[in-house]
Amino acid sequence: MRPTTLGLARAAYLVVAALLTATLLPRLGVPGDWMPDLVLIGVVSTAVLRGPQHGAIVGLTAGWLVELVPPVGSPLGLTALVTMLAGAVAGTFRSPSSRAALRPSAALLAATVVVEAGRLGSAALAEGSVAPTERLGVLVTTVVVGLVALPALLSADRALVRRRLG
Amino acid sequence: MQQQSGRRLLGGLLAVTLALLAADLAGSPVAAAVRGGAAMVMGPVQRALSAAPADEVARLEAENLRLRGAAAARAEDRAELSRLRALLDSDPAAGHTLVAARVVAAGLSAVGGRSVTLDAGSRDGIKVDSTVVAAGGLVGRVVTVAPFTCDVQVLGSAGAVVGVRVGAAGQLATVGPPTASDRVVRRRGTLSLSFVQPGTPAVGDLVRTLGSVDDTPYAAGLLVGTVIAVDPDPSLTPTRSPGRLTRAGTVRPAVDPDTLDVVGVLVARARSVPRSPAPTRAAPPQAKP
Repeated sequence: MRPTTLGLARAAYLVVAALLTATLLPRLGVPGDWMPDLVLIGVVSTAVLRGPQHGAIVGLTAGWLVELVPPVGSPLGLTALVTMLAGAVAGTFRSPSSRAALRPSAALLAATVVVEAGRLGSAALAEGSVAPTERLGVLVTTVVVGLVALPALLSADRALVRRRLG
Repeated sequence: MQQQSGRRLLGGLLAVTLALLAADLAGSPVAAAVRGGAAMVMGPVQRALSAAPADEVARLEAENLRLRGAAAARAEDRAELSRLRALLDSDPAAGHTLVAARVVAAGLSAVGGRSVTLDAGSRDGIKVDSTVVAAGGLVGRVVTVAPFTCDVQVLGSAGAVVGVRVGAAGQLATVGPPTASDRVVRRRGTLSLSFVQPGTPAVGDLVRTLGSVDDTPYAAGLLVGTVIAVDPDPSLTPTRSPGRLTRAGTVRPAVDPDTLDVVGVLVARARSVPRSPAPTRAAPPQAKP
């Protein structure tokens, strides 16, 4: 199986997004409570076009990427599992024909909720108490950034497919 | 076909993920190796992305050094506080008023034993002949007092002889430095015990101070040490202990003078209320003649 341009572009986006989230954005002064989940936006953009199974694979891979970019997550693999679930959930929002603008955003919202729920769940297991409102900022910024970024990513994806590069 | 290979790929990835998750939770070295590998690959990229300006690095290094120093000082303070608390909670301190002090200098006297200098003096209410204790027991007595410091004659110095009670029976004896009249060689750091009246010490007996008037120079009931050896009976072996009528022994001091740090100086309190006579049982009726 030869790697396609689309696949390479996706992988590049995920790597850059993971590095941005972990390294560059905190240095530029973006507070952790308002950090948009750029990797998840990439996962959702693939999932809404390809469906749950593909979304799960991309989610799992992206989750591993996030996990392995230092600071390395603990326990290893938990983020990957949660992101896989989020990708699968986003994949169920696939519609074969419709180009409804709200559909990808709804998928992103659902995926973010899954990720944050997983994070809260593991925090509850690890620390015994959680503050659910703390992660609300992440939810809001991710969806807002997604409103801008998702259409761009989706049109880029469709353009590559149209030129038979995907 | 595409669907099936995708499912197989997903299954494989999922299996690897679950295996690694389990390995990490079980503390396997595999997970640590994955972490180290990821950090090795990603670290340089991250460093390049967040290349810090040189002056900021220098500033942070200086701050790091300063904070490290502050942390070390804090740890030292905490250790000293815990030693002070141990002293205040200890048996010797119970029932007394004491001034806490620290050993600031120590001198080894030529004839054995040692004297130490404390960082408390007459300004702190310390008088000559006050008793000095540590958490373990008796340390010695104050011999000279300056406004800010005082010198302490530590137990075991030449001339430091303490009246003591030995064991549960409380037989009277004295504890002092090993002397030439001892017919038994005593180990360095131990004290010589000699009975005032015929008595029979046993190994393991606790030795406590007898006490003196107004608690100076030695307050009563302070732990001095433990009997670790008893000399042969002088009445049975007169040739080996000529000039001795009573038993003698070796005492290991309760406080090691080499590791003294935080000590307490007992402040004598003058008694202002006279002792009231204690009521006793009524005497049995006596038979009339």
